[in-house]
Order: sequence, then structure tokens, then C-alpha cells
Amino acid sequence: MPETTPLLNVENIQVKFGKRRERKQVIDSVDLQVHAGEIVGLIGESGSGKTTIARAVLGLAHVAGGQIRVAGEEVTDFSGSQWRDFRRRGVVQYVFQDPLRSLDPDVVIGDSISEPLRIRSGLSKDEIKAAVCAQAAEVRLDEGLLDRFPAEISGGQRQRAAIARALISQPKLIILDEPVSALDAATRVQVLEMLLSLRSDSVGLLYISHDIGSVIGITDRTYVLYRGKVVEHGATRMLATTPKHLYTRLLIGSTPTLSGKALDGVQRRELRDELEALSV
Amino acid sequence: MVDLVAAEDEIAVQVHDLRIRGTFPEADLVRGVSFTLRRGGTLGIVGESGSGKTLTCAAVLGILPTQVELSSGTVEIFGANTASFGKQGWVDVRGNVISAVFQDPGSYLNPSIRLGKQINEVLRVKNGLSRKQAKEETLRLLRAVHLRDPELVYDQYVHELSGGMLQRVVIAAAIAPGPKILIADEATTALDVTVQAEVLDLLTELKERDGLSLVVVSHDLAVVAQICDEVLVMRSGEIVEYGPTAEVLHSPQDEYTKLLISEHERYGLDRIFESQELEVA
Amino acid sequence: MLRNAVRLPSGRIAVVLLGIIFFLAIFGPLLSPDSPNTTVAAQLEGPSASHLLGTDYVGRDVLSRMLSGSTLSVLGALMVVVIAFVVGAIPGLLSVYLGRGFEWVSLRVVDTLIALPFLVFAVAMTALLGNGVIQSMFAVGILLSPVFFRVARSSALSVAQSQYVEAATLSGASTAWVMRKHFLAKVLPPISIALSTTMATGLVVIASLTFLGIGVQPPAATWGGILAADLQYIAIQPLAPIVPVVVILAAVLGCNLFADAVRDVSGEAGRQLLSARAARKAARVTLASRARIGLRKGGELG
Repeated sequence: MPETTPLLNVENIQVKFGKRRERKQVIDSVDLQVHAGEIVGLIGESGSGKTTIARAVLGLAHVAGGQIRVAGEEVTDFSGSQWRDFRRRGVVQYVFQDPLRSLDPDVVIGDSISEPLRIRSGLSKDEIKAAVCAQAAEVRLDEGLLDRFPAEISGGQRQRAAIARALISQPKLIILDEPVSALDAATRVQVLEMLLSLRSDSVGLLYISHDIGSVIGITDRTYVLYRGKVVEHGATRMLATTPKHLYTRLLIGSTPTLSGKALDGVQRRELRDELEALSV
Repeated sequence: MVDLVAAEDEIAVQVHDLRIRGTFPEADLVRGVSFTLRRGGTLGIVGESGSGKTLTCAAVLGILPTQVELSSGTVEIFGANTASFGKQGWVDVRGNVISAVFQDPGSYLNPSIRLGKQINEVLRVKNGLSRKQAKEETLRLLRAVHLRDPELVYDQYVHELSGGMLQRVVIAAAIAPGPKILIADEATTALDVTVQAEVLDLLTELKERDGLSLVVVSHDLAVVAQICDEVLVMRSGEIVEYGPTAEVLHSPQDEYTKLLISEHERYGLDRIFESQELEVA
Repeated sequence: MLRNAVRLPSGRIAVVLLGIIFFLAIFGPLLSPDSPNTTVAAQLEGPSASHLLGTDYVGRDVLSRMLSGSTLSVLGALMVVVIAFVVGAIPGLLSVYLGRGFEWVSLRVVDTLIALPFLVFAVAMTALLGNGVIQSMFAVGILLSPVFFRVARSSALSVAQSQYVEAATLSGASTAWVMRKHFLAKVLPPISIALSTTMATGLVVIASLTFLGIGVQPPAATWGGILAADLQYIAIQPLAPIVPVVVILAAVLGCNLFADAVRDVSGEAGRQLLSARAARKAARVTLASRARIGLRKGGELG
């Protein structure tokens, strides 16, 4: 692992939700890093807080404690306008889970993809058009679809458009939240392959999912999130073959496989009971 | 009254050349589907949205929506042709012989009535139990689906339970009248993977304990591989693969099946299993 | 949006009707052949060359009275629309962005306005503010503002909470950008519909109030007033009271058809409708060109 400055350095962050009396600790003392050239996974079940971490990194959730550094810059206490300027530089980008909701239904695909560039301004119409075409080609999106509306193209094409939009500003850090769960099998494979091809010396990916399968398929390292805490992290392969924490063992053991080699029901129930005992 | 329970048939459900047509817009939605569910067997149906899997199940349950019709083919439940059932026939058969659970358990329960009462209603209407008997049986069922505190759940409302717990309640309601066949249509799709494993365990347990014949429908081949002895893969209204699970996984004939398998082998836990054994215990 | 709405037959009819009505409102008084208030001929005559719509119970030319009365009716309705829009849409939009306090207050005010019985309130306000059309229209405008409040607020809310706006924000978009590029297109259709239906309501309210004699005193010519005055003579001369009815109907119909056309071309259903029409048109064009080619080639097509 190269000892360079991480693209993303999350240190001991705390995130709380709720009004004064009923504040709930949603993220508790989480440390997380992503280096250039890595694809890092973040797994957890619903309610574990994985989307909250993404939102905190993007400046969409208020962080009560700790530090977040992106590409060397500390963003934890950024004001609204600081965030706006930082975002315009296009250093970090985000791919949402459902492209049907993350693309404006009344805007053609080409304009949605070019929006990050147009917001920045400074490029001519032709330059923007060229960039959109180049990006569409990179994600294998047919140029003819650029004039269509999101509802007129397939789910896989929509998600590719969303990824093109994320890539067009040449970001260094890309955060993807369940990018393939809304897609059918054939498209899932294509998009996962595309994500693997994004790996390069200058880009780092944070892949957030509850689907252990795809996390194992494409990530180098993974963090396991349970009830707002990172309970285990390490090389993905090690996590899958020799999980240490109770929850990771339960998670891996619950995942259905073709070979049917998951834990049996009794073992799982024991793990779950131990886990409950711990948390209480 | 359709009396099927007495029959000692080996075949629980027999579907032969089922064809379903949509009337508006016109389309052939299911095109010649045939399969057999043996008594006590587990059949998995794998397919994505648009494959026709849900319509096929709806045909077996007699709940096809109005804009869709069964244009040809037969469905037999324990040897009886469902075309001859009529309204009363279906009422007798549903619940007592064949039952189903679907994807969003919360939407199949009444949000304003306590859960225990809803299961009671099934028992009193379907099995003719008295109020007291129904309550006892409901509590027994809630315990049988491994709900930790059945007495508490009995008095709770839909919004107070998590997805996994609700699915257990729905399963309890579905098996309450004592069906011989249970169809689980994407019953675990919306659940977290750890909860999904528990619900699949529960279905297997019910099969072993009560001799239930199971149909498990999912878009995930691995879910089906987990508990089914036979697999049926559907695509665009047709069956593209059908056979014992081990055979289908080992030597798939169809391109689509091969794609599903390779996806798991490339992007799944199976990739790890290819090389070494799992050490979790 | 407007371009699309006009493609539909309902949109075209609406534009024609509304065009006529507005034309009358602006140029009506100038075009009237006779003075609306002087007796020119015998009472309650039928249509004739010099009096196209006949005369009323006093002997005044109905056409002239209708033309001069259109300004008041249409502009009054327009005034209602403008007031309702300003009083409703702007706070509606702001209620999403100005914080909880303003939101709470504005919602309660709107609730109160909705709870008030309509025509009774209009009459009461007139009594309070004086017997003028301006005052009544002002009151009616305020009473109708909740529609604009709700439309502006719900559009702003759904856009503000949408993921595509979040995506734009994550690329550094300012609020102004989001407004221009995303919000405007979403709010235009429902606001247009609200504007047209409020116009229709305004027309009916003015007609009702002038019918009752509130707001404008005779002998001033208004559509409602003409109807009221000549209604009792309907057995003798039906034309005089029917003319204002037809005109009011046409105006209201125009507004509602426009609202229908806008609604039909908006949103998910709208996009499907438009693409279905485009597909049918393309198919017709293909068939037509094939037929022409066939004719040229085969000479005669039987």
C-alpha cells in the first residue's frame, strides 16, 4: 500500500441525528481512508450508517466531531460557500443508487451529463459537447441517446449516464452508493466491469453497498459498518475468508452462495445471539 | 367444495404449457411454461422483472390481474384442474391448500389492526376456531416463526416492527390455515442479508417440519440455490433452464443461466470459495 | 411547454377562444357601433343589420353593451389572477426556503383563507371596502391565493428534496442555478394551470357579482349586468340575456381547455402522450411517402 497522502481521510467522526433531547448517535468514532488507485468497499446493512458517512464526506450531513480531509484539504468545518467553491473544482463526485431519481426527468441526458461543467462555466459550447461525447464513449453510452429523456432509455443506460456525469469533471475521489442494485444481471456485470476499469493512479473509489457479492468482486479493502461503528476492516479477501468480528462472520455466513457453503441456521442463530448480547 | 387434502398424490402443483396474454396492451407475457412441484419438494424460480415469474405464480394462485388472461394451458393442484374451481372453489383452496407470501410484508397487513387479531381472523374464518382457540394458535404460530416475544408482537401494529419481523408475521398468517403448498415470491428481496438468511432458514424448517411444498421465487440464483432442490430459470416469459439445482449449476445449458452463474463466480462470495474453504465458525 | 400545449386540439381551441376574448377586452369599447348607454332603437328587438345582436329592454344595442363591458369583465378577472398569484405564489416559494417560522405562519394563514366561505366573504369585503369592482376583485384575489401558495410550495418542495438537485448541488450549483435550470420547468405547468383556472373563476365571480348588482351600478354595461337586466324578458326576446351567457361560457371554456392542454402535455403522462403522437405522425408520414412512391412507380393505385 503506497504511503501517499490519502485521497480521503476520515478520522474519528461522530454524526448525531435528531433534536436536542432525542439525539441519536448515528456514526460513532469512524476512521476510514481511501488512497489513489484503490477501490475501497464499505459494507453494512440498512440503518448501519453507510450512506450517512458518504453524506458527511460530501458535506451533506453535519459532523459533530472528528475530521474529514479530502485530497489533503480539511472540509469538516466548511461553510456553505466554501463547499460550493470546493465542489466546483470537481475533486469529489457521487453516483446515486437510483438514476431515475438522480437525473432530472425534464432534462435530456446530454445536458444532465454536462451540468457539472456548465455550472463551473468557462468552457465553450463546443468544448462541452466534445467532453460529453468523449465521456459517453468512455462509459459506452450511445451518442444518439444524448438527446433523450431519462424515461426513454433503459436502467443500465441511465446509470451509465449518471456515471458519465460523475466522471466528466475528472474527479479524484468517486463515491458510489449501491450503483448496481437497481440493475438487471447483464447490466450489473457491465457496470461492475466499467468500475474496475476506472482504477488508475489518480483516482480512488469508495464503493458503498449492502451486497457483499459485488463488494468482494471489485474492492481491494473493505470496512464493515455495524450500528454506526466500523467493526472490522482490512483486505477484502481476508475479510471474506477469515472474518474476525462476530458481525462480519454473521454477514459472510448469511450471504447466499451457489455452492451453498454459508453457515447453517443454528450457527447463525448463535452468532446473532452473541451479537445481541454484546450490543446490550 | 373442492376436496384436495385427502389425495395422496405425489404431485402438488402441475403446470402444463401455461400461456398468459395481456389484453391491454396486447402482449404474450408467459409463453408455454411447464413444471412440476412434487409434494414436499422445493422449486426455485429465477427471473428478473418482466420474465413472467410473478404472473406464473399468480396463475397458480388464481389471482391474475384483470388486464391479463390465461389464454391456454392448465394448472393442476393435487391433480385438480384449477379451471374448474370457480369462485367458491378458489376460496376453499386458498389458505387451506395453497398460500403465498410476497415482497413487501407491510403492505399485506392492515396498519390499523393489531397483528395478533389479523392472524386470529384467518384462523376463525378458515379453520372455524373459536376466539380463545384462535388466540392460542396465533401465539403458537408466532413462536413457530421464531419471533422473540410472541405475546408482545400479538399486540403490536405494523409500523412497530422491522421488515424481517413483519415477514415472519406474514408467513405465520400464511401457514395458519395449514396449507400444503407455500409460494414465496421475492419474499426476501427487500430484507437485509442476515435477515434474509433467517427467513430462508424458517422456510426450510417449515418444509421439514410440516411437509410443506415450497416454491421460492427470486431474481438471485444464489437464494434459490440455497434451499431449492430444483431450479427453473425464466426469461421473457419462457423457461430457459429447468432441472435439479446441482445439475443446473454444474452444467447450465442456457446463456442467461451461464451469465447468472458467472456473475456470482466473478463478483460474489463464490469467487472465494473457488480457491479455499470458508472458515467462519 | 406552450408550444406543446398548442399542438393538442384542446390547446388550439383554447388559444382561439382566449384570443377572441382578450381582443374584445382591449378593443371592444372602440369597436362598438353604438354608444352602450343610449337608446338607439325599439326595445327587445331581434338581430338586424344595424343591431347584430338585437336590443335590450331599454332599447340599447346589445352588441355595443357587450363590447364595452368586456374590458371590465376581462380585466377584472385578470386582476384577480395577478393578485392571487402575487399573494400566493411568492410566499409559497419562500415558505420552502425561509425557515420554519415563516413556513408555519404562512401555512396557518393559508388554512384560514381556505376555511372562509367564498362568495359570502367576497360580498362582505365589498361591503367593507366599498362598492367598487376593484375592491371586490382584490378580495377575491386574496381568497383565491391559496391555490398558488400550494402549487408554488409543493413544486418548490419536491424540487428542493429531489436527488437531481442534490446532484447539481454536489457539483457546486448555486440556488439561482437550481431555480433556473430545474425549478422553473417544474413549476411552470402547474402554475399555468392555476392561472387559467383562476382566470375562469375570476370571470365567473365578476359575472356573478355584477349579476347581483354588486360592485358596479347600472347603467354601466357588464356581462353579468346585461344578463340580470334582460333575464326577466327572456320570454319576449331570448337573445339579449343569452348572448352574455354564451360569451361567459366561451371565455371560461377557453381557460379550462387551456388548463387541460397544459396538464395533458406535462409530467410523465405528458411526455408519453407527446412521444406517442410523434410516433403516430412519423408512421403517417412514412405511409404517405410510401404511397406517393407507389403511385409514381405503379402509375395507378386503384
